[in-house]
Amino acid sequence: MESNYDEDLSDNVFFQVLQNEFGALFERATLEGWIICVPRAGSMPKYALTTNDFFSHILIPNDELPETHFRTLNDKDVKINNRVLFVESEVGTTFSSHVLFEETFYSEDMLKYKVLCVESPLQQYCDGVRAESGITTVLTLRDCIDLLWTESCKEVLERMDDCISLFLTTNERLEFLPLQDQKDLVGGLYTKCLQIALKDDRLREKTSSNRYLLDNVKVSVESYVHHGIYKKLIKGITGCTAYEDASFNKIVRNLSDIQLRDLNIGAEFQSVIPKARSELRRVEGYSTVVGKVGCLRKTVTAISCQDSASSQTGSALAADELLPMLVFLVIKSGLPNWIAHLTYMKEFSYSSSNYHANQHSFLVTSLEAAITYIKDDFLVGPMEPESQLAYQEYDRPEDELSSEDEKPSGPGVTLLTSLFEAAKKGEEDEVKRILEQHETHSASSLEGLNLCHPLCSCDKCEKQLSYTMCNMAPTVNSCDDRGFTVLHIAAMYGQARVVDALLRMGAKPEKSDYKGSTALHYSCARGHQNTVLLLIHSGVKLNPVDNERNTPLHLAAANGHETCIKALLYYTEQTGIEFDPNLTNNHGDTPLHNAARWGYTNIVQALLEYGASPFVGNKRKQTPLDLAHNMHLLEVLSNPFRTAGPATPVNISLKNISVAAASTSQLDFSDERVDASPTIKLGVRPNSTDGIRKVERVLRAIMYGDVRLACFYLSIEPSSGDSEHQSCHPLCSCKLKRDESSSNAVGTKAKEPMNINVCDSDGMTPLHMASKCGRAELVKLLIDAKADVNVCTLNGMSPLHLACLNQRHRVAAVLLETHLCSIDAKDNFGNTALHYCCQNSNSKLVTLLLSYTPRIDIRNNDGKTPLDEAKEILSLTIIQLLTEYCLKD
Amino acid sequence: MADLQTNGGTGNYNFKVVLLGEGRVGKTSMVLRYVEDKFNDQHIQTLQATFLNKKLNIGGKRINLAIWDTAGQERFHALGPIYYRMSNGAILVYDITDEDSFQKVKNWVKELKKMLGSEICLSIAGNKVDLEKERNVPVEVAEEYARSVGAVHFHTSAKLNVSIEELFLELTQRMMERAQQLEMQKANELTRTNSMRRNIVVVDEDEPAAPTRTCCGTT
Repeated sequence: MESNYDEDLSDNVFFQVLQNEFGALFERATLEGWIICVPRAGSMPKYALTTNDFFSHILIPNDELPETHFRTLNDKDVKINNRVLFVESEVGTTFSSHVLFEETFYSEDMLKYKVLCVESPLQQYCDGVRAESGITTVLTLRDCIDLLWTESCKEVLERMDDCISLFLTTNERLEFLPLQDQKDLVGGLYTKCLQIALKDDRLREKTSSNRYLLDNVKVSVESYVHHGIYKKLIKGITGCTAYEDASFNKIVRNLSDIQLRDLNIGAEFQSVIPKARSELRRVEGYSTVVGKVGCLRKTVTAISCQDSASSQTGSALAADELLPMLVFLVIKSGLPNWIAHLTYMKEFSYSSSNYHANQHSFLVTSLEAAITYIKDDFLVGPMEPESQLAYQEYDRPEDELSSEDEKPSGPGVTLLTSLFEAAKKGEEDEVKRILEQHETHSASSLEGLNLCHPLCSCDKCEKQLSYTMCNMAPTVNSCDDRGFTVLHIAAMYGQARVVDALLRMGAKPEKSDYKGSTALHYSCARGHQNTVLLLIHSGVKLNPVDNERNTPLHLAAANGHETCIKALLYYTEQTGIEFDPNLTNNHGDTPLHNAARWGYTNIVQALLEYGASPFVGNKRKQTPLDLAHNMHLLEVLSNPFRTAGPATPVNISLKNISVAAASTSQLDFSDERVDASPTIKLGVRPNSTDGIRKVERVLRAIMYGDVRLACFYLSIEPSSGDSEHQSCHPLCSCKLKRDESSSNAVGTKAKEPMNINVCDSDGMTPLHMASKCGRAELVKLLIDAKADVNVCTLNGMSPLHLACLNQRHRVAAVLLETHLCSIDAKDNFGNTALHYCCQNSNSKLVTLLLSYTPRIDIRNNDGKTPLDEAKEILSLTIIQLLTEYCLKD
Repeated sequence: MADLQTNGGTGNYNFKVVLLGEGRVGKTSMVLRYVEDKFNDQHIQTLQATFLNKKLNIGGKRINLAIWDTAGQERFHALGPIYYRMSNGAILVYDITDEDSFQKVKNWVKELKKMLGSEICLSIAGNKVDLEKERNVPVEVAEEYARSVGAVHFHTSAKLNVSIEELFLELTQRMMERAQQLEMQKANELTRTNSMRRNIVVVDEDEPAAPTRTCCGTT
């Protein structure tokens, strides 16, 4: 039993009589170090207090077990166990009494003796009447109401009810006030209610003599007030702490994979976690400070339960263990408004402020410490899920021992580990080095391994396995025992350069691990915008689902990664890809549910802008509106179509995103590339749906060969040299008129000339399209209009690449004539323009290219030079051309 | 502050005492040893030693000691202020076999002086004197240091129950003195607002700072 019972023993009749009338006995007891038990005030029958009564309340410690076993002066055995006194009575039956508290006395001359205050006398009285337990501890709301009910009368409660409802009507806008005002108002209400309670004669009389009762009444009144206004009050508090809560949630969500060992908590606590966590989660359900703190107390008790189970002696729970445990539990609790609850407990407890140093404040302080610890980002570095990678390595040796026969261990596994390690740290060169190791080996062997089931032990497979042992260098698509590829790792740690390199090496971005998560999932969950952009620009599906049917958007929304959300949404808008933001996961939650639950206002706004519906119900029939726990969010959610206000800021931030997108492409990813073009230049992406549509129109026009229309769209002079193109486009009756219209405010298209280097979702610029489709005259026009000849598609292809790939001789000639083309540029497959010519065995193009002195020793991702390509298709003319070129050099 | 210490003028005191010091110097054992005393640890209700109450009665004055254990690991250092604010006393524990832990004590003292001025009573405990052979912190150095910062030094052993009770008792008495001074000051301030420095008895060079600080706190 929780005893916060307290009384001043100097006022206790029993103790007074002992000291005054049985002075000799008392002195003897103090000198001998005997323990004096004092029944709490009011528990002793009035007629008692004989010598024998005192004898039975003085305990002499046993010689052997002085801690727990005692004998009374009238020869009865007494045991103390877990704060309960057991007295052996004459008939052989035992009865017990709680020890309420222990007080150590030091007399004037520093003589020390100990007094136990017990709940009931240690002497059974023949009439069997035991005073009813007068000890009420108010730990729950129920206790509080019971106390007020029994100690006062119905009218008191009714009057308090009136007071509370009056308060609620007069302070209708309580939740919109600043926190301090709320606190003051509620404090005023508490004082008023306490006055009402103490106006009651009976209660006033009792409390004036019993401080303990007074304290309890205070707590009860406070709790009653809390309960009455909780719904309104907590709304107000969450409103005030919304921002803090959201940023706290973001930290917590991103730590959600945390393990006990990350916090240096011993494994022995594992067993208590479920119980402790479910206790802690209930904090939300209590409407009173008393209830919430009680919930913390139960949590702490649950944490310390492990000791009693594991060992008899029970090593006590120390602060060194309690704090990390609380940190862990808070992270795992899944409550969305911890700061609000903490504020409530800290600021709205009026009655307990006088015992400040008590357990109540200790519990709240511990929670505060845990929350501060999380909030201040103390949990960095090893606490991130990367630590799980490390564990995998710890765990591995055992696995290997057991599965050595069927699992090709050794160099392959370790190489894979070091590959992952390099990817994690962003060591791009190291990653490439390891991956190239594979390429230098024979390529075929690994396929055999991939096809074969790891457990298969037929002769053929065994043979293949032993063969492949020789070459276990991991490929870009090798995965470990969790199904992670190196791309997953790089995406998880936001190593944009590595991701870029891997994508170029042909890593499959769609590949999912055993949880069904793709690299995009991990990037979004961890909030690495750069990698997200790289991945989506590589053309992956934007809505892949993992085993829990979470899309990357779900994860980014749950973890509060606004930038990733906006990158995804913006990308879909820009490319016009069909994208449903209302997909539901296994719980029936949409991304909007996640964002609303954790209070990320900005994300909610962005999602709403892109058509997320606030009315979708999840499997518990909760809509995002139901999950929103603060008022700002409710407001945003309930006015999803209020576009004027929030729309503009979102648009602005989207523009910032596009800047960010551009800057990722400017990151110097491309050390591998030939010197001629040290950076890839991507086209300019339009940042509005209108712009996207225009680009599509231009490209279509080029594809269909409508040069004039394309020129019109791009607002370039159709031709400077060709007279036939002098006339206007049919849509425009004459040149003058077009000029007029261009100066016209309505003709925005013409007014804002389109950037010549615009591109679509694949990075195709007009120049690319013209080169691909062989529109030589348009290529010339575009180049004259300052189109960039080295601009690349997302596959890293320059116009020259496309021209060679599609065997557009004239276009290639035009491009090369500019002398601006970097002829040795490699695309994402490592091919130069010459590679493509050779692959297509187009000797005419090869001749053309060779006249511009390209390098012919460049190897593509398959490790082949152009000459190798030519040999492979046995194109004799080209082989000859190349060898001649070699010799000429 | 005074409201917390004197329980509504009944002559009862509520004191908050924090234990500070590096991990594994024996803070928890000390507090357990002190509070358990005659009873084994099954006696402690929730088996947790992070927060314990001890009721004392010294010369007729009732004192309720709330003893707060704190997490000692370095990574939790920044949480210190959350724990030690509003405390009346602090026990700084170091391990006599561990020079580092003594350095930590010095840091804590510096921090406490900075944050709480001399409102707080300090005791320094060199724990684990049962391992005297492995002592790494010289007795003179430790005691000299304690004197220089106005703290009282104890050589303790939680294992053998050496000086634990004395440590807490002495600290309690000092906290009582401090509280009584504050009460007197308060009374003086009521009668005449000047001459705030007259009642200082305790030998502590930082002392003059105390009155001004506390009178602001006594609301």
